[in-house]
Amino acid sequence: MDIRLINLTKRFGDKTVLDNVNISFAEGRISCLMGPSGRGKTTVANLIMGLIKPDSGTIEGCRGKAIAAVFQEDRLIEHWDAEKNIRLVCDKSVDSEQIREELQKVGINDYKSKAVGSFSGGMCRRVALVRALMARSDIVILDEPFKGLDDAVKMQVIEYLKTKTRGKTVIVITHDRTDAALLNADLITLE
Amino acid sequence: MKKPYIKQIRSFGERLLVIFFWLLVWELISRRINQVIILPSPLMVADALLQLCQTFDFWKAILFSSLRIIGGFGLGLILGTMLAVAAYNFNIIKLLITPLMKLAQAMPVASFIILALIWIKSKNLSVLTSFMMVMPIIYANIYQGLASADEKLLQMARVFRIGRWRRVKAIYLPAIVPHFVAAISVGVGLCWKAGIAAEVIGIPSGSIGQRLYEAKIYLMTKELFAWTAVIIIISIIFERIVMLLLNLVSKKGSKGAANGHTANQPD
Repeated sequence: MDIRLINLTKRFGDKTVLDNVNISFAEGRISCLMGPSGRGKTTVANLIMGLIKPDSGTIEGCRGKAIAAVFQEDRLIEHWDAEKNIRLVCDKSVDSEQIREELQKVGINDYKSKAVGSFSGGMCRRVALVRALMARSDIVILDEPFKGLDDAVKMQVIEYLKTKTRGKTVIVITHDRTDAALLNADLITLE
Repeated sequence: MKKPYIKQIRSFGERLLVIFFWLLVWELISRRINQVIILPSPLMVADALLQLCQTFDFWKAILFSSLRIIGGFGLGLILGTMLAVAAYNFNIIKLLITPLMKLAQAMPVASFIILALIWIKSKNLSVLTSFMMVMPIIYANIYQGLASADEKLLQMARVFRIGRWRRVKAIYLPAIVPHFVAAISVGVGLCWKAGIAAEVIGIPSGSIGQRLYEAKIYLMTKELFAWTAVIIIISIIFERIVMLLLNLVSKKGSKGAANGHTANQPD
């Protein structure tokens, strides 16, 4: 089932961030949600994740579905290593070897020895991405997942993302139109 | 590896010198006054302490008071933690508990001890007193710790449907531990002070408080000083043991939690 936002309105105090918005994200596909800063892209993500409630309108297609996410900030446990951070969201059946392999696919080798607090921004972003993609999920929401990555690493991560999310409904929030092209994604623009 | 070792020896030496300095000041004042009944010298107090150590009653009094004060501390720790968790989860409990905690904090210890003496046997007075001293501090600090848990991490845990125990270990424990450690540190000192005060007022037979009271009545100033030293030593040993246990536990749950926080009073 597609994720459908129907006549959705969200206000923060006097400011109306989303005004009667109608969007549909196709099931099993990658959709890129684009738009200028401050147009409510992250608000859309938070509404779908159920972190905030709309003032009016409905969201269909999320009920009972498992969601995984990369948030605008990495939201990692900083004094834990990468493996421990990922293990926190995984099923018990996932072992260290699997986590190590996934991290190496995005170029992270310091998976156990260092706390992620000592990682660079780009490394934390990749750990957050692996965490989202290793968690059991039907819907994956990625809020600027390539923030802080250089072009070579970004290409590596995009390939990894495409492989790991096959068949899942994925919403990627980005400013970069080329990201949508590289991901073969549907383009949705918040005006 | 050599340098930190030398630093430790130096710091230990400095502390010894400071202690020696104040003992010297005490000795000089004592000589100047030259009245044992007002201020005995450090050597006289040490001698009195040595004499006390050789009696069975001394150890019995320590056991009697320690068991009760530590018991009250333990009860305060358990109930304070339980109430803080309940208040964090249910606002109505927080609303109901807050005035009680404020009352417990504001009430003069002596008033409470005298009141408690009407309700319970003097034998158990120190249990209730140390419990009443510790519980509000533990409550306030655990609540503060829970409330300071990172909201963004809690949202992450909600989205990923992370189970309750994993959530506690990853997010709540690291937030609580620094507050908890500060509360314990304050609570240990307070429970000994208030517990012994309760014993001095209630005079339960065989307690440290009774021995202090008798020392005061019979103007046995050397013994009074010796018992005071004993209370300070037991309090420090107890605090060290609790901190050691806490460090062992917090090492498992979080890193570097046991430093630098000030204990909070209930709000």
